Amino acid sequence: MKDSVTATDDGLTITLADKLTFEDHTNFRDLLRLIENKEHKNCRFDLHGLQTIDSAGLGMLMIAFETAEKAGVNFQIYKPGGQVKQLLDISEFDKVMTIVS
Amino acid sequence: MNSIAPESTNNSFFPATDADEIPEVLQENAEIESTAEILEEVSLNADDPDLPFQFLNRWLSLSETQRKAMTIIMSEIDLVSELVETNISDISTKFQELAKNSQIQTEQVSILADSAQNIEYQGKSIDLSEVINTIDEHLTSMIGKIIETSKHGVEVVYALDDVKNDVVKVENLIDEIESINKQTNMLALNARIEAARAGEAGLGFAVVAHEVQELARSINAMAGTMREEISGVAKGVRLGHSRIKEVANIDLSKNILVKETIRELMDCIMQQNETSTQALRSSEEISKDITKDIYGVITRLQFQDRAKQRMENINTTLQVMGESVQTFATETQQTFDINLEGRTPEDDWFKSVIKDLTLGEMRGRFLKAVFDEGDEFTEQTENTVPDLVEDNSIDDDDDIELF
Repeated sequence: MKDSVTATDDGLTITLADKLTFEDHTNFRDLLRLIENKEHKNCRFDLHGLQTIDSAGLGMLMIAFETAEKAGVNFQIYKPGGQVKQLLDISEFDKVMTIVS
Repeated sequence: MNSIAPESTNNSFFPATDADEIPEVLQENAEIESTAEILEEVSLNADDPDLPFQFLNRWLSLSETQRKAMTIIMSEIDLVSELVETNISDISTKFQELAKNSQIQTEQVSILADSAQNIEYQGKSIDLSEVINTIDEHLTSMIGKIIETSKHGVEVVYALDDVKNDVVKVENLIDEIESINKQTNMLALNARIEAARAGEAGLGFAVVAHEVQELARSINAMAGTMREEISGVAKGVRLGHSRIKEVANIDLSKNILVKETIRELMDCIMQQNETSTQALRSSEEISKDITKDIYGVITRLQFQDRAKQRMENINTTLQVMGESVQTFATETQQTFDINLEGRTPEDDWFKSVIKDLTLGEMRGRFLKAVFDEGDEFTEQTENTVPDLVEDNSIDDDDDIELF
């Protein structure tokens, strides 16, 4: 997983690229701590550069959403594509969280 | 007389006869004297006293030939009526069977079309779209559980990561305790040495130093026990951490994507089912139309009754006409008996009438009725109504029975 974090007045933007799998769980936890800090009211996961995701990756996105929800942070998944979008659609993530296409 | 259209040469019952097969008797003197020629002859011989008798003679000859012709025509009409009645009856029966089978076919196609949309499951009829929705719901539920399991897997890994870190912290703390305890023991030892130097005054202090040393040993033993315990915990945590990582690392994304494949397959099944149902409904409608048309044909075949009645009326009329001609001929003969002897029959007229008949066996019957002549074929077929051919060898692939 390649990740980059941008913090602006609008909120926190976490951009993920390449792939998100179980192997990335440790790094992903660091990103979760950024959300838990409650320093930002909004958190956007920009997935437009993410090529593949596995079931653990989907679980981590769900943990991120629940962490944000617990911290009172608005959560948004931004422009997923390809296999990632396909899996999010089939898993009906849009019924739980905001997904911007 | 107008010519009759030739019959098909493939007709085994009514073989067409070409000109070569026309009996010899018809080839001779087929031309008859025209009315103009007769009138010319009359005008040239107007003063001849025998002329009226010659004409009467010819009229009688003609009337006799015509009566014979009318008799055979009546016979032919009877034959045609019988032929039509027999065959129409058979055709009607066949059409009745056809209509019955067509109706059964319609019902079966209707049942098929109805059942195509449903499946039988545990004694219940379930709509196919409902089945697909149920499968879809189950798959969605299963995928939800996969996501939930994956999430919990990662959460447990995170929790065990924390426990692992905590165990390391505890182990470090035990190290610190042991280190402090070692210093405490050293201090107690120094205190005992200093107490010994102090002599009598240091006796009390030596006792305290001894107790501190004992306490340090106890703490050291406890720290050792704690290290062993925490080591066991750490071992268990590391094993659990390793196992849960293996579980969480199992990628179920392909299982999630299966839902889409199943959905596409179901859509294909639904689409194919829809096409089949439409085809069956269309076949059902066509079968209904066929059945309706067949019943229409059966109704139309009832024309045979009217045709028979008309032919009977024609025969009755011809009979009256023949009797009238006969009565008039008899009266004429009685009136002009002596003078009319030796009249010649109107053979030429009759030959000209039948020479255009294309059916050999019919022509044969005409010849026999008038001239008592006929060929072998005529002998075999006269006054018979052809039966339907039962030879299957001429049936074609569609089982259409041909004459």
